[in-house]
Amino acid sequence: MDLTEQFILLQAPNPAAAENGRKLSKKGSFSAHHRTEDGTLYWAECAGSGKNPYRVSIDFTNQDAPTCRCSCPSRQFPCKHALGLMFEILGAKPFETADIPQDIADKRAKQAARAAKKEAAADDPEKPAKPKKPNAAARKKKLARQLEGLDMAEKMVDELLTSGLGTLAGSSAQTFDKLAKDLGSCYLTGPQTAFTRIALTVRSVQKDPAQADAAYAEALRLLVALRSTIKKGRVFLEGKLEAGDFSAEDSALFEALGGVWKLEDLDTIGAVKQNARLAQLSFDVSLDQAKKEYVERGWWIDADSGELWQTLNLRPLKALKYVKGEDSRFGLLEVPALYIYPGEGDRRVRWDNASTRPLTAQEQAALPRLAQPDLAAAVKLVKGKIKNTLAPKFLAVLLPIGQLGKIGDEYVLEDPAGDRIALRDRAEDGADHACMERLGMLPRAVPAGSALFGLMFYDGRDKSLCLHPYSVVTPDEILRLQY
Amino acid sequence: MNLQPLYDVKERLEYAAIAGVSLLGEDFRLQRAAEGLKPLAAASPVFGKIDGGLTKLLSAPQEQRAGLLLDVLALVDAVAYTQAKTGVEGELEPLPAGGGTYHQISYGQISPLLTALTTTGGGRMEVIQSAWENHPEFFEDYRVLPAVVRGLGDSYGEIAELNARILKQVRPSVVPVLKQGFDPAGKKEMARRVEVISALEGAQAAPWLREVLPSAKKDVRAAVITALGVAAENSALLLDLTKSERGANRDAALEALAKQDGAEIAAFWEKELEQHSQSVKFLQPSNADWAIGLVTTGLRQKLEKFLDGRTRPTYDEGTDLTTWCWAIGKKDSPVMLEFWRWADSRMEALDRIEDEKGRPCFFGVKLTERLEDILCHTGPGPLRDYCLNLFNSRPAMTRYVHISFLAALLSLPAAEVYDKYGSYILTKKPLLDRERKETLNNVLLKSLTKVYWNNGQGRHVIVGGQPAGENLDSRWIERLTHAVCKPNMGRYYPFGGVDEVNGFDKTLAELANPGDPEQCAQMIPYLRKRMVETGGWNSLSRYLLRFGGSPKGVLGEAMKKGKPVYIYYVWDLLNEASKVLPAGEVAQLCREVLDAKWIRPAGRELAMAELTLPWTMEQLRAGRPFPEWSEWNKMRP
Repeated sequence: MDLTEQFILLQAPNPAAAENGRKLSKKGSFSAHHRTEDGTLYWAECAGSGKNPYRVSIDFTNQDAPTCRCSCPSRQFPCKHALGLMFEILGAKPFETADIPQDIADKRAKQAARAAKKEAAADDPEKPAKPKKPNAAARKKKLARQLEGLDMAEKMVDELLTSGLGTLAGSSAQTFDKLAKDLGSCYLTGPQTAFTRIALTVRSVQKDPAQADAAYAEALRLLVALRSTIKKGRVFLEGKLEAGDFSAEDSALFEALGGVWKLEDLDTIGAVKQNARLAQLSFDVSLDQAKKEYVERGWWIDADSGELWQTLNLRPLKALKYVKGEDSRFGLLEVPALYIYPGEGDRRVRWDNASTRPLTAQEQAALPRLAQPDLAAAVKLVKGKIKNTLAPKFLAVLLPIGQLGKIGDEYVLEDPAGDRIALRDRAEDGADHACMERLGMLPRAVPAGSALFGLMFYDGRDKSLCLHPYSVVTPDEILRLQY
Repeated sequence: MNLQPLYDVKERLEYAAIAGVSLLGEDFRLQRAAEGLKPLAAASPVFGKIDGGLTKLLSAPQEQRAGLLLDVLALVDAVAYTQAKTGVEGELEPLPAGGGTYHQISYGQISPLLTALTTTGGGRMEVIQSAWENHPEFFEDYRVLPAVVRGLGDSYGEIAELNARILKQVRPSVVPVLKQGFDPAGKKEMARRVEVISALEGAQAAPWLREVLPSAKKDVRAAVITALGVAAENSALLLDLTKSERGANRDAALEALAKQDGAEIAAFWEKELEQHSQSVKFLQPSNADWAIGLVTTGLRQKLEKFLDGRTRPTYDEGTDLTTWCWAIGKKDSPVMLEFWRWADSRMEALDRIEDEKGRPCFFGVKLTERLEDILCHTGPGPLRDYCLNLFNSRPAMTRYVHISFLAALLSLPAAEVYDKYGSYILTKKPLLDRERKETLNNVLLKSLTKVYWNNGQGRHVIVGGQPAGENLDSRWIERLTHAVCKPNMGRYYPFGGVDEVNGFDKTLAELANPGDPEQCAQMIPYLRKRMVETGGWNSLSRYLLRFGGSPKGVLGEAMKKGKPVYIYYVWDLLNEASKVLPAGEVAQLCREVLDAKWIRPAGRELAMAELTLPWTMEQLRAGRPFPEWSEWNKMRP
């Protein structure tokens, strides 16, 4: 088993757990190190606060998703003891070869039996999975409630604009928050979040009056999108209600209104791609103040089609300890079934299971060739997408690099055809996403045939399209400006 | 196409939304902007659509205005996006390559470090320190390095200093990052940047330092001037700066000039010390011959003035002389040796100097302390040979026994050192020449506090880091355990605040080698005896355990000499004992504590002891390990 520190961090529920595991390993808390002859099982004892040490084991039968077991009462999984044992393996501590303990052998057998049963059920054409019967009455009631909520949201937009965005402060802001909360009980979490975001944006003016113009522009952009959601959402919901169709549907509106996609729903609408091969181009984390959650976002390129996907791992602040954090991934991810969310541009993807392997030299060299043919094509694509009121005002693109350089203080990308685009940090992403300083510190000259991955966005200050660079993709490597 | 009318409309619509659509009817600027769009509307259908929307908005009843405004704004935005320009005019200068370092590090690996470097609050120091120990390569990665550089201005000074230390150890390729965004008029962060650049580049930093000097202010200016000292070529500039600068900046120039060498520099310092005697403090780290000459000559002249006892130093003169004594630093040279000979020849007169109020100035003692400090930090040579014979040549000067003993310990065979000095430790009360003998005993004991057994190195070491020529002769331990003359050597708490240990016992316990059975055999009965005498039940028990002994039989008695004890400390000691003593003996210690009944009654601690100690004895007799504190604590009644 070739263990790396990154692999251990990927297993950890959060970086702190991994660090605590490392400390346990460093201070020599482990004893009675054992492993099986075939190296698929490692176990040891770890001193804890109690009289008896914890019994920790890691089963590498599935190398991509090892099974960690520990006798400690921690609710974190894997616990720091299991992570510490991984650091013991990484640190090449001596493990004595021994026979597999009976209790673990029993658990392994049970696990194998469960997997075999599941596989047999999936393979048996005579016993297809029982389709879930939707509760039509409940769904109808929900649609009606959502329509009521849309009326309320429209009224809120009208009132807000009648009195003016500038008045959204003090007690009026509190009333606004309360009304926004009511939208949640109408199953309209999308508009509810939009209202919260508007309120936060307007309030930021009080903290930083110098940014007032940008903040109001952003609030108005949100209002425009909200208005569009209300209008289109009403048509969408009324149509469903009239048709008596209560199933999920391949429409971005479903999510915009607050719907949550399940993998089986995506499967039902056929939004699945088989045997996808993905390479991560970038990873970043941001805090969504409106939803009070961390958004861990990965940007991926489909190694076959060149399509760009994003993964979003949402970790609410309230449950931060219990939701496993996502991390940067290196290498090639082979995904048997890639579930793709409805929408246009920067579509979100998920998967149930996947395996990772290093990218071969040929696969790496092929990645920059998946870039847009030129800057003009990318600009056309971006303009076409961002003009949609419901779409975010940026789009991930991979652009071919002719030359990277500076004109005055401005970083610029010139494509092989000689067209140029300004490279800038997108203000909305915050200072922790700033990349320009890093772009000026590239470790090596960018070789011919490279591409620049980033988010193309509209900069209202000079009415131009710019690119916020995230990674330099060369035929030899991916230089991440983010993580 | 001139799109300015479109942008004007967009701006006016945004203002209307901020101010409220109820005022729309009076918004003549919006109406004017709408008028301005008319020519475009005639030229293109999409602008015509916007124009239509605007007309509808301006004539709509109030309740419809909000929706209409957003509809028009959506259209205007969409057109603005599709009309967005790209392209930047001008000469494209290629990006420099190789300016930074990239490592394939995951977010999970560096996010705790970046958080520690870029936020505030407690616990950050440990994260940075740990990352530096485990992954020093992270710090040169271009995603981390700028944060470390910005961390030089961290509001928590220790983190800022840690960042500076780290940066001084990463590759010199970080210098461009340190120079990027450098503000010569900045605060402490910029001053630290100067320090780091100077440490990384050495003399090569000189041109840059000279370049930034004219615009440097306050802390940064002082740092730049100090850093200029690294290059000899800056001496003329530094000499000029001593004339033009004032206060801290002039001090910085003097600090820098103390690192320089040459006749011109020596001449400057001669003049400087004549005019500003206190500037001698800057020469403390210098080992240049001219500096040694100036310090020794000046100090001699200043001291000679008071040697006859007729003139007494004022308070300021006394302070000045103390600074000059301190400025000797760790200087070691033939001239310095000559100075020590001169001081030795006048030691009695130096000891007699009193200030204007008749109080002794202790210049003789101060100079001897300097000599000891130099001896402890320099290797074999004329100075050590001189020190070796100092007491022999001046037996009346009892404080010299300290210097000569340390020199002997550093250079002579262990047996010879003991034969020469062992007898000064008194094992019987002297009848004749008592005062001198007790003084020598006390001085030698003071010398022994400077020596300790270093378990890691497996040898005796002198404070300052130099190892003894040979490990201390075991006869010292025997003699010390029988010493009868023990001066007050202070009180210490080597194992926390449970009980105190006097300086003599601590010195002895730290001097003895726990791996030497002969020394252990001396220490064990001595420490047991001292437990009963002093009541140091915790610290002395721990020393006993260190030397392979046991407090069995004296623990209870020792405990009862002091105040009733906390049960946690009892558990802690017994737990420690359980690691080295057989279970049966630990059980006997439990019984002894129980019988002593000397646990605090407050907090039900005594009642707890009456439950936990018998239970622990049972556990130990049953072959189970010594219990955890949590198990004892659970039994608290």
